[in-house]
Amino acid sequence: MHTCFFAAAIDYESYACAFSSNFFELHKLTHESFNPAENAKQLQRTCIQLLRSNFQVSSPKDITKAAENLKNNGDNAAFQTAVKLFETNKGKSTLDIIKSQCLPVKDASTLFFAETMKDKLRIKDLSAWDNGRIIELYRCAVGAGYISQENAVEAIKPVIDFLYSTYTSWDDYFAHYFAGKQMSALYEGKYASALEAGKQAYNITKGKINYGEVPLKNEKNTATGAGIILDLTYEPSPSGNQWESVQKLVSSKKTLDNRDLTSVQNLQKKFPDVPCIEYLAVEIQFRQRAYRKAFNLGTHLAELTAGAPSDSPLFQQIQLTYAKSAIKISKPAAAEKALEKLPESFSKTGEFLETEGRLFVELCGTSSDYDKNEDYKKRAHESFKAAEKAGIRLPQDIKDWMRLNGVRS
Amino acid sequence: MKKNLKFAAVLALLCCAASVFAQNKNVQKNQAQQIKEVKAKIEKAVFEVVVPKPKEENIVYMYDLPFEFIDDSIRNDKYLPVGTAFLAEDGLFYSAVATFKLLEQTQYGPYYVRDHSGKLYKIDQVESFATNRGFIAFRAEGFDAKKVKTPLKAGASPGNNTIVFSAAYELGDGLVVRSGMVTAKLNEQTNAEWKWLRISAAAAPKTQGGPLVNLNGEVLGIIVPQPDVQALTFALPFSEVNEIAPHTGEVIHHFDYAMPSMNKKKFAHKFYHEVSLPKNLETIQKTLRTGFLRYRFEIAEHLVPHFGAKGNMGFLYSSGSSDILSSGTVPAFPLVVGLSAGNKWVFQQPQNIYEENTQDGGGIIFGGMMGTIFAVVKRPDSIPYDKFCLESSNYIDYILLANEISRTVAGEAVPIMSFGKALKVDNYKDAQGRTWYIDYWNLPFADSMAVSYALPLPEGIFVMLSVADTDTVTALSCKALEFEADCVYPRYVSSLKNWKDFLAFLKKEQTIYPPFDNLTLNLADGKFSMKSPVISADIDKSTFEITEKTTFALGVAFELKDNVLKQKVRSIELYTNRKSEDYKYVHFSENIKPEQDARQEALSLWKQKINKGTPYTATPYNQGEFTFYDEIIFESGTKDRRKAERIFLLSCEMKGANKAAEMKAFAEELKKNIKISQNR
Repeated sequence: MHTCFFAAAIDYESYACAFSSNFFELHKLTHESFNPAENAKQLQRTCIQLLRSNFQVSSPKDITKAAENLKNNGDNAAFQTAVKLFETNKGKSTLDIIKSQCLPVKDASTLFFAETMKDKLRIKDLSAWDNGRIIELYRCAVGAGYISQENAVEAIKPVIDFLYSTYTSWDDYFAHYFAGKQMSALYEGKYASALEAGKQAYNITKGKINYGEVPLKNEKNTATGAGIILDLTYEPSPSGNQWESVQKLVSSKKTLDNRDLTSVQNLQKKFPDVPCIEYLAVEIQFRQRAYRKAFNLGTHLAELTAGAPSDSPLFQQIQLTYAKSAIKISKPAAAEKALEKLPESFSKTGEFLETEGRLFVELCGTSSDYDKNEDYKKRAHESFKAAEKAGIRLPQDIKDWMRLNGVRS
Repeated sequence: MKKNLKFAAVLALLCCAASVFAQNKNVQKNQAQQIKEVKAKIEKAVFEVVVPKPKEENIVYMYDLPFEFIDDSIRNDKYLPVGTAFLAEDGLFYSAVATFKLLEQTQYGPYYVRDHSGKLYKIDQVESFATNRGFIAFRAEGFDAKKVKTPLKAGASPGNNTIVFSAAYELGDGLVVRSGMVTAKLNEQTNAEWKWLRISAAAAPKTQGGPLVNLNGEVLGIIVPQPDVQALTFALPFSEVNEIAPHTGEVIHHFDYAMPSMNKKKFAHKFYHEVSLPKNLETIQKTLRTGFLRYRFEIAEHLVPHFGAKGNMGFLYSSGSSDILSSGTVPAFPLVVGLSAGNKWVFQQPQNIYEENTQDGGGIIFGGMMGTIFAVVKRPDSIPYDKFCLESSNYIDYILLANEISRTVAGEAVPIMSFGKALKVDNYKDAQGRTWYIDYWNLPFADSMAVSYALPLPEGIFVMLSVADTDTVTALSCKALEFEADCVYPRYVSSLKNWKDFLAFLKKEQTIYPPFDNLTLNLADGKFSMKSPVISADIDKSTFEITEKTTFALGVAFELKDNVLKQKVRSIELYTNRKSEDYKYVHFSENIKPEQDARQEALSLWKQKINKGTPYTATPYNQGEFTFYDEIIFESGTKDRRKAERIFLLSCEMKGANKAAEMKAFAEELKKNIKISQNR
């Protein structure tokens, strides 16, 4: 067993405990050993719950994937994308970038975050947060009994090496860590409270952990203080501040419904012609089976996003929902046009294939040519089968259609 | 005491009954009062949709139509009511789109709205419509909407059990307002895009397009017909008219296309079209009707290469083809090849066939099937062959006499004796090269038409007659009859005299078709001769005394050669009057081996014939007062009869039993006189 701060040698376990101390303090787990549940076996359950709620890990086999995900698609990746958008769209306002790039609400919130934070950060990224989370993940996994401590330490060595050599002090590390934490909490509209809680936890850990015993490579001044942390407090721009109402609405529930329509309409007035807001209205109408309304709103949205990049996930969802609405109100030509706009890569997805199949079903009978209608039928079958292969569970109405409309060879 | 109690109870019951009676009376009174109030509020905003009464055509009825029993106001009205419309506060008229037949062919039009004082306004610009929602919004020529002080305002969406009022102009009753309730809100059938308002039967109006209003006279919906649920009344919620994009007309029309001879096989089709508005109603009607008619014609034309006479899924190549191709008999009534419920091609004919003959040699054999009257009209001796076939009234009037078609006036069905002169005549050359004579008649009193396809036969003419609404006849019946005509397997039976007239007619009209292009028939000096590619005969009067009155019948079979479908001679029959003392009958036919998938009966019969089983023993036998003879003749060089691909059958009959020797001699003579060719 390794202990963190009472052992003679400073090792990876000690650094791991320090880098992840904020998280474990917040969740009332121990800093005294690498395994946060070691001295209290009852805490194993807490670790299992934390893995599930914070890292979407429910079994040992998910650990590596979750760590990879944090490394490649974590909050830093989103932040970096946002920073890049500012570089490639110089002179454009944040809102204009959101419109032209057809950004979804979450990415738009990130963009507003990056708008002010990109110049505040000493190191222009949020890797302190993502890497800190990787360490938290592995320590939790040890606590849950999913992985041995040796294997966990082996896995996080490169992460610790990186953090050890990147930040000039623990304050510097935590300032960047909290910047990431704020961005992560941004989507739930709780970035200020998240920062406050983090700062409090940091102050507490200062009494429990002697950070001086685990100096960082480039550390010049080990004196702790709150100055740097305060500097990295997210203070949104006036538009970013207004945008919080959009993010709050989206985060308030899993799916918006008819009752949210007025709120969305208010946002539409506040942010006219912003695709991700317009799409909220389309989605609500579609879900309410008001296909005609969804189609009419979608027509406007299709015009708005005519020049948007086709690899934008929002653009793809807009086209797909537009196609679905068009099919529902017997406008297959409009649906065909919408699906044609989607990139090749998207056309392999189950959702696309299912919609394509439905389009062919709708096209069946629209031609006076018997052969053409038979061909539509055949293509509908092919698309549905491909959708099934792509992981889509076909709804009963499609299964019934396939059964009743066998294809003649 | 007890007596008093009884008395009190009876009194209480009486009081109760009187109270219920009074309540009911009050309800009725209230209801009547409400209807009166609602009517007063809306009557100036509700209009009658009318078309000019169609002109009476040359139809001949059995007796004068009893118009005197119809109310003067209806009889003298120059217009025919077809629906109801109402004026909304946006200055537009709203009605049910079905009233205006945007897609269907009709003899009616132009359309007008007529106000409560009888003033007419021609319907002009259409502002919006949707065929699936069932509404149309339009303006009328010269109508100033501002002058109507009480256009209908839109009311709030009604809940279930809300008391509502339907308003409609009904023939002879003027504007009728009925009260009822919203009994349900039912999802639109295709995608549940909106909810129909279902109204209780009490509020069911007789015409469509009127408003559904509340007690305040505010419009809640438009009463529209529902093709699938005719027994119930539905209204489109009025708010739904705003769902269509402005200045747009939408045609979303789902329908099944079916060929009547293809039992139960339906082809689901959709006709979608978008019209930018405003546009004149007549322009829209013309564009859409033409487009929809062309679309349906194209459907029929595309089905022919698959299911038609030569189609890859037609009777020559699909299930049932063996039986049809191996047949060569002379049917008692013309047959139509059709697809059975079991998806097999079979010969079809009406289930009940009736025959009526007249003194002058004419007559009719007829029956109904697939919504069509099928009839063989025999030519009377008094009408020359050409005239009989070329003037349709000669045979159609026979059909009308036998199969009554009537017009109902004032509740009385008056039989039609003649459709009169045809509105349009045409020809159709079928897949087998036969020419059919087509005649169309208008029956404007019911916006209907009649169409007949007629094929000359030696004995007269074979007619397929369809009577239906104008749209069905124009768009569907003619294509269905063409489809059926291609597959008709007729009966060629008549006296040699009629045969002569028939062949001469085909030659004169230059409509000769197989097998008659390769058939010669001759009767001179008592010697009969006929020649066809497979069978030829030269029969002298010493063998069989054949006269012009002798009946000659030709059995034909379908044959597809070089992608040309035709019929070839497979059997001949010659016979005299069965009732006469010298009655003789001769049948000679080529029999083709049926395929293995043919009907079991056909396979058994083939086996029976090649094995020369009874009665094919070449031995005369008696049956009643007749002597019969059946002999199977194999082609020369046939070594193994089980391997024979075709055989020939000679069958004879003669009046009188026990004439074995005479019959044997008769058969021997015939065998010398009838020759077969190696051609197939």
